[in-house]
Amino acid sequence: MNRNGPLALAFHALVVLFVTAPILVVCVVAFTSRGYLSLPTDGLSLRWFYAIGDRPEFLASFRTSLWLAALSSTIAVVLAVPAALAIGRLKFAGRGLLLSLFQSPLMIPHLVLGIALLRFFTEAGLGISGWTLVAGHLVVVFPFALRLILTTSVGLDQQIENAAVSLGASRWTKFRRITLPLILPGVVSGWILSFIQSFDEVTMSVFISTPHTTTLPVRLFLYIQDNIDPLVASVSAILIVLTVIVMVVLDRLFGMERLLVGPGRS
Amino acid sequence: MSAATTDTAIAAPKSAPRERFSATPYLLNLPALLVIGTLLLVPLIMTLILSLHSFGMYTGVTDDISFKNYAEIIQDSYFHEIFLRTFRISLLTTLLCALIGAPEAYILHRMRAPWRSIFLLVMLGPLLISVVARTLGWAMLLGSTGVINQTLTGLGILSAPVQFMYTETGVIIALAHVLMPFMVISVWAALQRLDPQVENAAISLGASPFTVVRRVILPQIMPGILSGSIIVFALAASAFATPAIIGGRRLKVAATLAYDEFLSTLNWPLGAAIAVLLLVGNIIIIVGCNRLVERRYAQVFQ
Amino acid sequence: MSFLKIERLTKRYDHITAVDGISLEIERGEFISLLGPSGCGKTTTLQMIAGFTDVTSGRIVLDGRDLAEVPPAKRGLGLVFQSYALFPHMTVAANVGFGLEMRKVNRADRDRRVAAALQLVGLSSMADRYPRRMSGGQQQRVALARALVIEPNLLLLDEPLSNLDAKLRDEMQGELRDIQERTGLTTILVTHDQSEAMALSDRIVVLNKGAIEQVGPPEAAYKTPSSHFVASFLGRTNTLEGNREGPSVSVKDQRWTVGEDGNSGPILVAVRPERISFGETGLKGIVRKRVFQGSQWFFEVESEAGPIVVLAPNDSRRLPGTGDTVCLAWQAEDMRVLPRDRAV
Ligand SMILES: Nc1ncnc2c1ncn2[C@@H]1O[C@H](COP(=O)(O)OP(=O)(O)O)[C@@H](O)[C@H]1O
Ligand SMILES: [Mg+2]
Repeated sequence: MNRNGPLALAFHALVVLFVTAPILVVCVVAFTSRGYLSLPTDGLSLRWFYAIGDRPEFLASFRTSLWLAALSSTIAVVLAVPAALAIGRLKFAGRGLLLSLFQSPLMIPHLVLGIALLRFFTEAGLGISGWTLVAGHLVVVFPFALRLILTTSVGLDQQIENAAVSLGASRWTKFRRITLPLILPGVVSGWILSFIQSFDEVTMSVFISTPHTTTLPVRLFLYIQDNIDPLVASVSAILIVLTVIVMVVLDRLFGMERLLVGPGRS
Repeated sequence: MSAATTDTAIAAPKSAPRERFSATPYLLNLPALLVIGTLLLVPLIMTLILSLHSFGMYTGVTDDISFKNYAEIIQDSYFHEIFLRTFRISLLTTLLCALIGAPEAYILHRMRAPWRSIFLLVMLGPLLISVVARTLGWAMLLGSTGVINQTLTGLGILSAPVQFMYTETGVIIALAHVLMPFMVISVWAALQRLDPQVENAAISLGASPFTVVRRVILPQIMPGILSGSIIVFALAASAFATPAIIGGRRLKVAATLAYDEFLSTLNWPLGAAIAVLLLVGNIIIIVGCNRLVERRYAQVFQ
Repeated sequence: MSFLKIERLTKRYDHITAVDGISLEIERGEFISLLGPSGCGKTTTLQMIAGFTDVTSGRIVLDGRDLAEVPPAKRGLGLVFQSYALFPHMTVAANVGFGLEMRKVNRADRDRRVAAALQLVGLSSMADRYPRRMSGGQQQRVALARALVIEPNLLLLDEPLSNLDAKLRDEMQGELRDIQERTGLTTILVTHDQSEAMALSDRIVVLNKGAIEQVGPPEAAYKTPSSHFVASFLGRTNTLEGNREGPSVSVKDQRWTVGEDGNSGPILVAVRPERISFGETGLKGIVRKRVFQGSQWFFEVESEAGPIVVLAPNDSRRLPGTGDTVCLAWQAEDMRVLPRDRAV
């Protein structure tokens, strides 16, 4: 591939600065020793990281977010696998309609989803609980799980399954021993992308959280609404570092391009 | 923030194993249909109905049906201003994303082996970082005692700090940062479809690098830029966390307005009406613009 | 009663009839080839026997049992797919052992039989490899071992050799025939390669557009094709326009007496290129092209009756050069007389 000229590289440097600056500044400010937002010009301090220890609600929210993400993406994958196998490989009336319905949460603003679910759960008399959060996140992450599982199930060679049947495999055995292992990359990457989407979701969650089930992004958001101090910087810094670690691992395992852009031609 | 990445259209399978009517595909879809259908369609319909109810300070939500809330939004200049601001912010954010994201994607596309994937990761990675954390970064950079102001006044370039927080400029900058990856993804996908030999063919015919970009590359990635713009515009128009943090209570957009009506004023019907308008506007933009782009560039998509 | 009986088997898709009323009887131990051009319905026929495609109408009876009542998993057929369809996430041994596992064969027996099957196809050293890391020929043999190890009552092969290069294909043809003779397995081979069908089978079934054109032993089908389609499909044939008057057939000024009597009128004459020789008398023509092909020479002759292809063995005989005027001759028994309206 051709090289970029100096002008292009200068532009590129500015864009990289633009993209990374706000993320880096959070991580740097987290090390300040002062009581207000400032760059740690007089030495690095872990003061604000220790301060998280005095605020158990942040740790509780972190745990809530992890559970919520794990649960909703697991349910999403369990529902998406049979749907993807049917949509990806069988011809049937209403197939396009179903696919549109399943992908439609991507088009709906999360704010609208939050309002709609809040109304639904209060009206249905179910109240707002941890389970409402799971249900809401399930709707949000389902399209991501479905999309990644679909791409692997579409590419599945029907003859491989037929071979198993001709050798005497029952429907269930065929699924467990042949189909599932073959779509496993899609299932795993779909689960991970769902997990991340759920973990980061804030707009819808604001509406359907309770004081006992506040996710970490919601907790941060509500805290920032009152005041911005170095504590949120240290919490965010930890969140950013964790995400970057996950990101690098994912890039090694699946390739970020495949996960976010979809399977390319190469 | 949802990552509404390029939605993959799945072509119908060429040969189905059985073509006689079979219940299997429906049974396989049933669990997902029940769950997603219930959790999506029922709440949306209930919201639509809610938006037709009315609200009184003492009566709360009443069960009558009227278009009162919509009439109020259409007549009141307070709401006009907010919707207009939302539109302006979304448009400028989209423009900024296109002006930065499209050239950047092309530069990435031209990079050599290790750098290409490293910087692609740098550009797309922020998508996975919590939008609250990213917006917080901008709040720290843009504040009156923030890094940018301190640096500029420290260097003597500014005599007094410039106010970015609680301004449309601040919201646009932060939103452009949050939504940029979607533009890069979209243009990147279009660039991947390019035949690399076409560029070489243009060069062999004597075209300058600038002419190659303008006459050969740009027309081919235009659909990518446009579909990226649709995604960015739709997400900017319905963005909540970023305008809420950078814009604060003073600079309201449609989403933060609905939030306040719902959770502060407790006027649920009015909040629902704003949400319905937001949803309808979103769908019109996404579906309508996609149709236009597809028709205009039918031969490029084929 | 024959082992496999196919009666008026038909498969219709929305707009096309892929298989159009095929009837066929196959004896135990026979090696049959379904031969025809791409798209003629070979795979569809095989998939109906295997049970992966629904039958529109007609019957398939295997060993006295109507297969309509037997689910695909219970038919006990050995299948080798064109794409091999190996399980990519299992080792060679696990692939081959899968069918035995389904039959609840105990571990020790399974290992023994897998080893024997791999021995049979010459892959004993590769039991722990994954299919992706094997050559096409090796994968093909794994697929064969996987089909054979369950001791199927019928072996179905869908173009098993078409993905291999020429040399490997010849080798595998030999092995396939060997294995089939050793096991005595009734086998149906699907192929579009006429030389493969001829080399391997007891009988050839020539298919065209979903229907049977001819059934018979390879030599018979080659020597006495029943139609222009069969004649031209089973190797290169010269088809010339001629006339018939009772027992006598003529092409231009040449005349032959064929045994049987027939209706007089215009006919087609089919002659194989290797049956034509250069002589003192015969059909006149000019050599347009001469190509050396190793064991033989290939000639294109522009004759009075149109272009004719001739194959001459590469022995010490003197052969004409390009531009020479020649006379082409052949015996009456080397030519097939076909009605003109059967021409395709
Ligand atoms: N699932 C299907 N739907 C519609 N037409 C099909 C299907 N499968 C095969 N066909 C058609 O049936 C005909 C026979 O196909 P096939 O049996 O695969 O041919 P062959 O194996 O001889 O090349 C072809 O014209 C093919 O296009
Ligand atoms: Mg075929």
